[in-house]
Amino acid sequence: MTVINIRGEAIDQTWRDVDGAGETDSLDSAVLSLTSLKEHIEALDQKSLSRIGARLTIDDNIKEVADSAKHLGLIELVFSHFKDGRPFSTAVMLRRDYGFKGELRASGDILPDQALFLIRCGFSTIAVPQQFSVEQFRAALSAYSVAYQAGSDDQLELVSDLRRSAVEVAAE
Amino acid sequence: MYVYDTLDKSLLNQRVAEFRDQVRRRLAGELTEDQFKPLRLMNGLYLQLHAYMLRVAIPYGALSSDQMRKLAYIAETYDRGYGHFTTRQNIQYNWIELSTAPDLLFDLSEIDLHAIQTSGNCIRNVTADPYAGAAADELDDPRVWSEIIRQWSTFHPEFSYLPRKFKIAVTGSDADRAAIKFHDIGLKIIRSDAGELGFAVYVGGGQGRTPIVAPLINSFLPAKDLLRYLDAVLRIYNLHGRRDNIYKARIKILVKSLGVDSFASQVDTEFARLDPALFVIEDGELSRIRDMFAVSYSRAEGDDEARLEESPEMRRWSDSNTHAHKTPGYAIATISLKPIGGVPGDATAEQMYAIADLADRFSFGEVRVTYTQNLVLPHVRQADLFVLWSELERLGLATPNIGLATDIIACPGLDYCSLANARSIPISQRISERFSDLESQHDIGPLDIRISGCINACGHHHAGHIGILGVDKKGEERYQLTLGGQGNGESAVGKIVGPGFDEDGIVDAVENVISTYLNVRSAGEPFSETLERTGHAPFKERLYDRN
Amino acid sequence: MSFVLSANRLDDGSVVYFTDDEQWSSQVDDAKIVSGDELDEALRISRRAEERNIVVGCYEVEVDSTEGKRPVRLRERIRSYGPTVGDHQSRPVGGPEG
Repeated sequence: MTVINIRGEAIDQTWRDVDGAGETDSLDSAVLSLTSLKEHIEALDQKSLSRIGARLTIDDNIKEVADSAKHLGLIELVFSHFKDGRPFSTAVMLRRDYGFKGELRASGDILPDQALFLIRCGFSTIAVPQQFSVEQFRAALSAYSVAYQAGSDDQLELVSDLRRSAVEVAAE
Repeated sequence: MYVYDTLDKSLLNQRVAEFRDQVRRRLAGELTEDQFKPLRLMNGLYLQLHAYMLRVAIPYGALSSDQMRKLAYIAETYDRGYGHFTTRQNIQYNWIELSTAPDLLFDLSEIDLHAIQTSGNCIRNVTADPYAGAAADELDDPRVWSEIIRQWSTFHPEFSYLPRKFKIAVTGSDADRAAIKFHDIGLKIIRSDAGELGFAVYVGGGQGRTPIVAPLINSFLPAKDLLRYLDAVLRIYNLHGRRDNIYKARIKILVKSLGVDSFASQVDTEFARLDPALFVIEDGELSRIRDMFAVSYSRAEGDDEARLEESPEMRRWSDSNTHAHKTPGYAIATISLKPIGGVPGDATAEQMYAIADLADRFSFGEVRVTYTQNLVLPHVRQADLFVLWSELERLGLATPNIGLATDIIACPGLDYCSLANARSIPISQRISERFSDLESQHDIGPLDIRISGCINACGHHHAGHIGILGVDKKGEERYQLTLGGQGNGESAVGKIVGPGFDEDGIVDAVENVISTYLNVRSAGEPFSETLERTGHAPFKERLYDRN
Repeated sequence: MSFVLSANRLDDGSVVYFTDDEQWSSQVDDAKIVSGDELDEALRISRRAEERNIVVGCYEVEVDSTEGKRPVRLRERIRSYGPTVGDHQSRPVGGPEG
């Protein structure tokens, strides 16, 4: 699986899928389902949490691990269908309400055409679906240099709070 | 008029390029139809009964004369020489090709027009009072706030894959010429007791299968909090709106299932969580936008003398087709796109070019589109009305029927739409011909007849004083009659009167309803009030018991 | 029962019908007639054109084979012959309107 960053560059990624129980040590760099995470969460301190990731499906409720969420190293939100836009809001809430600072990854059924929206909602990496290429996602990420709304990314400069531009706007 | 600056234009140009590439990828098979369809819809391009249909956005119904000329050019160049103005203040072209659609969008972009978010599960074109900035009864110009909402909602990264479409309407006046309570969010500009500008917020209205008049969710939202509040509502909808059943996916279903108080309180909680600093509309920006809508009115020599030219025909036209303007010496003039026996809301390219010229001559280059499928010249000197009327007469655009029986709203229906069960345009034409006599129409008075070819209710039949819904009964077109709907102001959903009619029967039924009204009305009582007073009984009796 | 197969051409959106020689024509009169038994197989073959991005939305239209290939449903007649209103006919009205 190829994972790209907000500039559309493929990155090495050390997170590994782990399903189910095991001792705490073996959870290092593991991405757990929400159910598994809940089983382990009591036993983990902040430092350990930062080396663990959580994979949330569309129906998982992040509030169940609200307090711990901000300490996780990775949260992955899986799109069950590209038309179901709930993970966009979940991402915004994770960044804003839960203060999540780790890697926020989008995976599952995603179109390259959604890449910019993902980044601007706070995703920091995207798992490129098999049927698409890294190049297609990278191209989509540079489709727009301007925007009308505040975004989580810091790629666009402030023109006013309503509008964003990466280009210096000539004095009107 | 709002004029695009470099940022607006960049966004538009980048969108045109993006769509061109999406079409290329689709034609090359790099995107499947399932993948392409939502992307295509977000650019207003439907695959319809006969061909691709393109819905071009007319933001809050406001066009410049040059934009109107471009719409005419599009009709001539890419379509069959005409366009249809819709119940959402947009325009539709029915014979579009996918392969040339990117060129079409490029042409539109040259004059700051587009088809962004006119379809799809995203925030649609914000609609507003077509008399905005002109009406005497207006508290503040709804176009200012509509433009702000337009920007906030365009390519919103979080709210572009909603459970279903989302429609916002704004009115600056109690008269509510935007039917705000039949929208997902309806905003009425008001002042608090302390004189602060803000909005009454209605959430969860709509027509379709489950027509609902939106409840009031917030009795006073300060203007500065507008975007923050909208953000809260949309987030709750995006997360909790149903996605399992497209017929239960609108926000009206969510509001109803949660209950108004619970919904409002969830919005308040989310609102409180949001950082106001993220949603500031700076005074400078607000003024920049507001100033663009300003008009320099003038008085000219001969302003008072022109009155002497009026004729009875012209006066009859101005009685029904003009409305009071906030500036002395001016009027708001409506161009009827409902000629007797014509297709409601359609205009040819020739007519559009002519209207653009009239707008330049008489209305500071401004034209508006109403959700009732007519056009408006919002700032006409009263002294010019006679000449304007003469020009409109020459063009066949002076039908004096605004708000009267032949000012019918009809969706495209089965003649054009793959969702329809029955045709609506021929019914509209026949009713129009039946009531063509202008004396009778003026005698009957205000009467909203609205026709939808299916339950999706694009013809707003639920909100008609007389509503007609086309259904399919064992392969035959059949028409149900509703009475008592109301679009503007005190909105209400009409009720079915009884068994349906065939295509001849429904026209007779409408005539029977109107003649019953004429029989039972009190002096000067308009149709809607008579119906309110008598209830359905006399109408049902006339329609059914006499058989 | 008799059927023809119809779709929209991907690039220009025009209404087209599947012909005997596995092409797509804009005239319903050119369409290949298919019986109820043959329908599944015919759809399978015609849908190859969807996979090859030539057409979209392939489906069956019931026709009255005693009246040429006049579609039975009003909706399909309008789709074949054009809107029953206005004077913007897309093609010569080959069959009864409405």
